[in-house]
Amino acid sequence: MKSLNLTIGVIALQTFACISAWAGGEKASEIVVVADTRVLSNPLMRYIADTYNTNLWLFAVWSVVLTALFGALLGLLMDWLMNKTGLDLNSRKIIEH
Amino acid sequence: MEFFGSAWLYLHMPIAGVKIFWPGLVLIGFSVGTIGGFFGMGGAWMVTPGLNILGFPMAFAIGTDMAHIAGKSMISTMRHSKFGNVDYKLGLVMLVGTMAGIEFGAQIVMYLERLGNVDSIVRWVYAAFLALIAWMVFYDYVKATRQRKAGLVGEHGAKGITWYAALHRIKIPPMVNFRVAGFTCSVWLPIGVSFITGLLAGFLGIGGGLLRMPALVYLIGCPTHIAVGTDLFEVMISGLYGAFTYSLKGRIEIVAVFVMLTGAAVGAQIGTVATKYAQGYGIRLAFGFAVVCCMFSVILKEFRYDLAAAVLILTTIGVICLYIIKILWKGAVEEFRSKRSLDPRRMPGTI
Repeated sequence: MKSLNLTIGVIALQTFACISAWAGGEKASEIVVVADTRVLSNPLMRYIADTYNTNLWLFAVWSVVLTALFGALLGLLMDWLMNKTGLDLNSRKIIEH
Repeated sequence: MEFFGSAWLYLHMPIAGVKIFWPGLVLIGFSVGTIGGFFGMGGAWMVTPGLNILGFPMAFAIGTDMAHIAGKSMISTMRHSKFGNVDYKLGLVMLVGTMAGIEFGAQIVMYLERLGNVDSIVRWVYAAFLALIAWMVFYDYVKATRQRKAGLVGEHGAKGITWYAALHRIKIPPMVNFRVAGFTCSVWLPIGVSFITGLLAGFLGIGGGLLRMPALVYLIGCPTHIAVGTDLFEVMISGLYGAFTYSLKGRIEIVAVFVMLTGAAVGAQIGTVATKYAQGYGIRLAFGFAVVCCMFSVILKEFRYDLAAAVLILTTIGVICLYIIKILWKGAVEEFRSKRSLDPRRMPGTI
């Protein structure tokens, strides 16, 4: 319990420091942002926030991989749906004017 | 910033720690997806004011923007690719120049930062380039209209500005044939042009689609539709790279990216399929209109009318979206009508 309180205290201090830095108008690149995991109950959200706080490299890899995968998945899904409309989606004429 | 009372309309962002009106994110994704798919650009200049209005911290806006643009461009590129609008070879060649140019442009900005007053210089240079692009687009349209009236119509219709024809005459080896775009030129032409557009993009701190799309048309000689598709391919790759670097700096709200992508998936299909029913010059003119509005918003920001700038951008997005949806609707209705008239089961008198 004591260690939990200490962790919360550290996060709160860091968050305060970060807000103060914003208020002071420092450059965004120099601010250290810590995700507040105390308010997160969803395990997925918690995992994202934890990864962000502990391992930025892993977070960066996840961000790119998930963005690409989600983009590709949505692209395929929407493609399939558009094909259902009956429009010809494989050819077009190029007319400039 | 709560617009409506219902709590379910707000999503907690785990990293930024703010509650965001998620239908607003879907709407931004949809609008930028539509416009980006139609014009072949990322559209960061449209997303940032929208995210700000929704209450997104500025520190996260650019990175979130970048990742969303990468995913959205992937959806649009997939669709454009099926239409045959993406010249991958040209896109990859240009990527070399773009990356080098962006890095060089960023170095110039860092040098200017040390001298001070960089923001104002960047804004005025940006406004000047937007004015130049707008002039090119409208002058080109007027010239092409004159050509058409004079009966000078080529394979793809009348042409206005043809600066690329002079640039294609430069025969510095190696010469490369870009089959999809339909021309052969020195490999140094696309590399050089993309280096300059990349340099400007790095200097101005933008994605570069706004500059690259007209450069592909006027300087490299791509038909408009192929310029749109190829540019989106480049935006996709540079967006993924940008998403990685901004994630490393801790400046991405990944949950917002996914929410925006759901809207963008629908918008990107609308924008991309609409290009099928639009004439090249229709796309160019609408692009010119967007560029003019973007230019005025930059000038308004320079004079600290931030709210007016945001309102102008959001109004522009709304108008262009409606225009694109109208093109798609009209084209689709006509296509269905012509298909029905060709269907023998519907023809009177057939057995």
